[in-house]
Amino acid sequence: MSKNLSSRRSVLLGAAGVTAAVPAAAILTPHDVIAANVTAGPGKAHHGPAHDWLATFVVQKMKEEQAGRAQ
Amino acid sequence: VITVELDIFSGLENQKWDLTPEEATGFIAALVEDLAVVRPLLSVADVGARGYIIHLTGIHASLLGLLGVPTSFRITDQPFDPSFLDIPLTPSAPGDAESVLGSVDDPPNDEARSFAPLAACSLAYTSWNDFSFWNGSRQQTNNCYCYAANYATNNWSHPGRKGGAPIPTNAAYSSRPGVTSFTNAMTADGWKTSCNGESLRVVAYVGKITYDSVYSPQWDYHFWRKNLNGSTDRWCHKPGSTKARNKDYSGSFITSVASADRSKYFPPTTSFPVGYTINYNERIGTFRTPAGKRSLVIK
Repeated sequence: MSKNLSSRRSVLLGAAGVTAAVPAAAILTPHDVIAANVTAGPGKAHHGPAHDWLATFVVQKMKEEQAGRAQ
Repeated sequence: VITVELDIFSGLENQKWDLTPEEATGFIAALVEDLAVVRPLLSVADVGARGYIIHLTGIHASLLGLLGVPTSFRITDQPFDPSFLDIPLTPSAPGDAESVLGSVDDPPNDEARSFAPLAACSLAYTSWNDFSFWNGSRQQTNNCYCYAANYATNNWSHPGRKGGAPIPTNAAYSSRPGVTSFTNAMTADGWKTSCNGESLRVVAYVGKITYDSVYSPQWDYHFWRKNLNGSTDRWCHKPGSTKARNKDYSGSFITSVASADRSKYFPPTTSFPVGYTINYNERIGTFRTPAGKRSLVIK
């Protein structure tokens, strides 16, 4: 990854409030993410931190809505 | 803005949540940690839970776009089918219909016995095994009702919206619409409950979504439309954002919706740890387009 792209990504993520470690090999060209994923794992399921985040978030939202309806 | 959509429903819109700025930060942090979770929007297989659709707009679309993330993508636990990459993602213009093959004599079957067919009654039908019209750029934005009407609105349509008598899509399960509400909505849209010429045939069911825990039941609706393989009935359908198809939940061709497998349990996944059952078990009825109409304009 070029220094220019790496710096740009750091700025962008900082602007979004993201402080987590980001892998250095992140792809920066639009749509290449999906193309790379196809190449890397056809026919395979893939689990990442986003799965865990969504699981926690959605179940919490569902519980809140359930509680809201019960009141 | 980041919107999270839990992709479950066939007729009704999926549940969606707009993330707060704090939530968005947390999600982005988790996402960029492993971008390999990003899947094409249409990469949903015929089996298993469909997972989530993530929509990005504004600054979040710009920021994540520079990391190569599309503005809409799917996060799912299903294995990746690379063939979905070949599907164009640009929606087609609304208001087009699949070409209709022709008409045949149409003796009543178990879906139509409640109506006495007239001598001129015949079936207009589309292909029973070529769903390319629906399973490309139109797949994500047309639901089961669009497929039933053979009219791609690209706007996730509902019975009665066109005719000004919409079903109550926000109703709780205990207040879900039944035969009367659906029939009023369908007839307002132009559907007929009897046959007096060549027409499309559709059948509607209301279903119950039951969760293992956490959540009270929800309702949904689903439509099937009759096609033919030679002289054999082939009821076809399009469950929500998934592909149009000619098989039921058991993988069997549908010669009768009444006897088809319309119920499925979706076990917990890593991204949605709540198992759920979808069961389209309440028959609403059979409806037909007006004579000579091979698609019905809906909204």
